[in-house]
Amino acid sequence: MSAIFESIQVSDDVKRFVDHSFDIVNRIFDLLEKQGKTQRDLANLMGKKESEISRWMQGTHNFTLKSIAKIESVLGEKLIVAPKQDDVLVKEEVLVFYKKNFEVKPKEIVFEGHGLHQKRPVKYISVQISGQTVTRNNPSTVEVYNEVQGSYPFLKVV
Amino acid sequence: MKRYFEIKPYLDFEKTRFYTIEEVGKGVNETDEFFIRFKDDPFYQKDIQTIKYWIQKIGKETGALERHFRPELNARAIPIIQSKLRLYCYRISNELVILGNGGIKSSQSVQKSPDAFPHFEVMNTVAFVIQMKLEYEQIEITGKSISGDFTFFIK
Repeated sequence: MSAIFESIQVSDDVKRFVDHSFDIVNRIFDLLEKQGKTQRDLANLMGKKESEISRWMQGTHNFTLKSIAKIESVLGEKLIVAPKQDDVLVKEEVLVFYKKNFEVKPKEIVFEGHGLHQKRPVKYISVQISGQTVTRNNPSTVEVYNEVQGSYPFLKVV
Repeated sequence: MKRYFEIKPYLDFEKTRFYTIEEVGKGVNETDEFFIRFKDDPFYQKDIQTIKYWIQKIGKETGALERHFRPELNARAIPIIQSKLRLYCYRISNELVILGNGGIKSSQSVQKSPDAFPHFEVMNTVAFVIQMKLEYEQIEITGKSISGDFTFFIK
């Protein structure tokens, strides 16, 4: 490894920019492959030169929302999805781990006090694994198996 | 005057190994020279960071697919869109890339860009030399490895 290369610090925004550009390009290629289309087909559908599409595909292109929308329109599928407030934001491998080890089921909790005795679902419960939120604003309770909890002491129910 | 070069390992990742070229007696390889020259220049800092991260991403995630590179005659350039900075290279396969030096492409034509053109020429010579060495079996490529005669000269 080159010490000079290693010494260059890459800022978070540069990483995110290149990651997004690669993700979009890979998504376009996957869709083209799925639809049996080529880069040239995409150029024709968009009314662009193939050389321009090639430049887009190199991994550092700054896609505009207009060009993303146009590509989505001609390929008939979404390229990017913006998270919404209630979405569960979790990496796939964490979700697989979560589904394998935990059971989530709706449950009513008894609230008592001030003469009240009522059952209602709990809101605003979230579970974090290694600091990553796997459920949020989910009107469910989470039952964590004791043995699993023992094996994964980093698990937090908040 | 002949300039003698040697091909040397530069970076190794899971998917792709990057080599560089070093002029005999110079003491610094061409790719390090490029990074040393631009890495602290505020105008090109982001471009240098983008190039570094792009190389890492190619090396770790995708491999050096043809579509990732900007064609530059027989050589290639690392594509920083909307920048005048060029780092020239030669892509041998998805697993092997030889990085060279680069500079600022100041006009539409690289021939009219005095800062970039010498490096463009060297890398195109490297591309030719590698093709010849492969044809005459002076070097052999197996996966991410090159073996054989790593030296060459440029007139």
